[in-house]
Amino acid sequence: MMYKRKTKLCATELVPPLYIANSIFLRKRDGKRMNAITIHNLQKNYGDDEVLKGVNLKIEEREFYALMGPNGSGKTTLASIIACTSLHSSGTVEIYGHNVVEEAKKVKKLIGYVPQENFSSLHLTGKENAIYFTRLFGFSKDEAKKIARDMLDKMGLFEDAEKRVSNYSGGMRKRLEVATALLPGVKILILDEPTTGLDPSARKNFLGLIKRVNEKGATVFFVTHIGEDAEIASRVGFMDKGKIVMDDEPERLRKRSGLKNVVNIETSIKNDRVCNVLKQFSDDDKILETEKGFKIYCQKPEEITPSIVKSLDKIGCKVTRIEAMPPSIEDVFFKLTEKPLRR
Amino acid sequence: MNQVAAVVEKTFKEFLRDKMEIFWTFAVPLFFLIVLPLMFYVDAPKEVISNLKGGLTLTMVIFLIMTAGQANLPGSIASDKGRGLYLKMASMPIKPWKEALGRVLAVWIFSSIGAILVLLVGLIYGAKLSCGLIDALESLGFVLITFFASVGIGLTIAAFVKGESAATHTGVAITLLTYFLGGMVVSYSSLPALLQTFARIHPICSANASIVFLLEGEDFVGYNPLNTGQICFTIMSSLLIFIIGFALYSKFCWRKK
Repeated sequence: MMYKRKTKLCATELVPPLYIANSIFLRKRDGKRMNAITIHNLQKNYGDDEVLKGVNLKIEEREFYALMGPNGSGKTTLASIIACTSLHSSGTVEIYGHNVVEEAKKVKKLIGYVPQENFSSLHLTGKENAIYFTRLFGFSKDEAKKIARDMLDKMGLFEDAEKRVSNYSGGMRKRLEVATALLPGVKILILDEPTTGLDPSARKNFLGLIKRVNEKGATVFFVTHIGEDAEIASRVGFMDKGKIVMDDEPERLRKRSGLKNVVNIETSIKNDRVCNVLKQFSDDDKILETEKGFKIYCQKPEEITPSIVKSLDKIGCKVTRIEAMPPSIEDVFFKLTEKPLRR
Repeated sequence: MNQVAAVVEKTFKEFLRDKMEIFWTFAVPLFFLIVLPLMFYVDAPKEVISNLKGGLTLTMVIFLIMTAGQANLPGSIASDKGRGLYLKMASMPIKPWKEALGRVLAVWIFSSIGAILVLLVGLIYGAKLSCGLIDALESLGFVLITFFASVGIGLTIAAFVKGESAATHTGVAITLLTYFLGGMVVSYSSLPALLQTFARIHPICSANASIVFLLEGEDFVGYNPLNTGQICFTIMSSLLIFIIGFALYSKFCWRKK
């Protein structure tokens, strides 16, 4: 009874900004963190097409959960159901114990959703956009001004707050949109492929900000198909064909994959012949095509590197770059699911 | 009401800051207002020219309201839909009707400013409006009817047409068709019987005729639209179109997948 009451106090009404989201109140008596998101046997059909096939997932409060999967695996659908913008066919989704369908009003006060699309208005300034979304959330104009100022400051947009969004870069616009989701009372940030279209530097900055938001108390549900983005998560889920096929801490996933080294080879040409030659050097015949060449997986890269260069040279393919590196989450995904994240 | 006010503010600012929107909504009626008398009123007796200009000014006010409700509103909604704003809003604690009401009020403010501008330009250009206070107030009522019908049609377009450009062009096409076929540019008496019926049934055409009748007289309309049957039908159909538009917008633009 007491536990329920504490949850209600924090979960529903106006509380200080997300950063002060007081997890102490939300902890169970045994010291374990309570579940921020609980998904049980979730199914979603579009006509005959089964998009989600019985997803089960529990995400604790303050966790940074990254959901990875190739296009069409059902990641966005899952995020949109959690964010109350899509209806599921069967199963249950609960946010801090509140059902997303039956108690949508309560749930909507606990989540901050940033969809894939850039939804901020180009005709308004950053500050006006922030104030607009804060007022839509239910705050008065005066409150919204203060909150917006605080949000923009935390997202590093204070200096550019008076600029129209049409003058923002892609990274600034995304940060603004995340700012509109970090409203007081919000405890879960749902980000759907937020780094798509950002250059590497903007992406790095953006991910750093999200990590800090997480460290200050927010639970983050981060959907991505970019392996590097998932590296900062405390737990990574692999989604394929409407199911979460594996789910663990990044390091443990690496261990489970058995991968030790990856050889990244950039070649002057990319064709089946090159691919067949490289397959011979891979421990398990698996080869992943990259933007500029291929990746193969092996235990002792130093032993095979000279042979790779020689063999490719024989068929008239020059190696422009070759390096051994530890496996990324993207490599682990490929190894475990036999599917590349990006095509 | 705070949420409604936020939507009003946002939509109104977007209208004002979109230069193309301002140009096409305000410039076209002003252009017609200035150019049409030069083309068609050259041979008209001098004593009626100011009344003809008055009638044209009133029609241009209606034209502007139609453009704002039927083209600008769906264009703005389609643009927001295209960039995922409705997905974002669906995850927030706001009710669709409040958001729709905010948009409608913003269009009302925007078109009111435009209407005042057209009236002022018309009066400066020599338009004469012969009316008393009661006639003016009654005319305002018909302006409101026009607004409700236009917004209802605009919301209906927004519910079904995807893409900003497609929604805006659909609205402009409906506005121009209504304008040309509904006795607003050609006198009622010279319309074929079928279009005369259309002019009496269509709430915007009927309201326009009523306003011109009240402020300029029957000669400038071609018939008396102020009979109980037509007034009741105009009011009812206008409100019905508005309610249908509101319901379709709330259902389809906010529909969950």
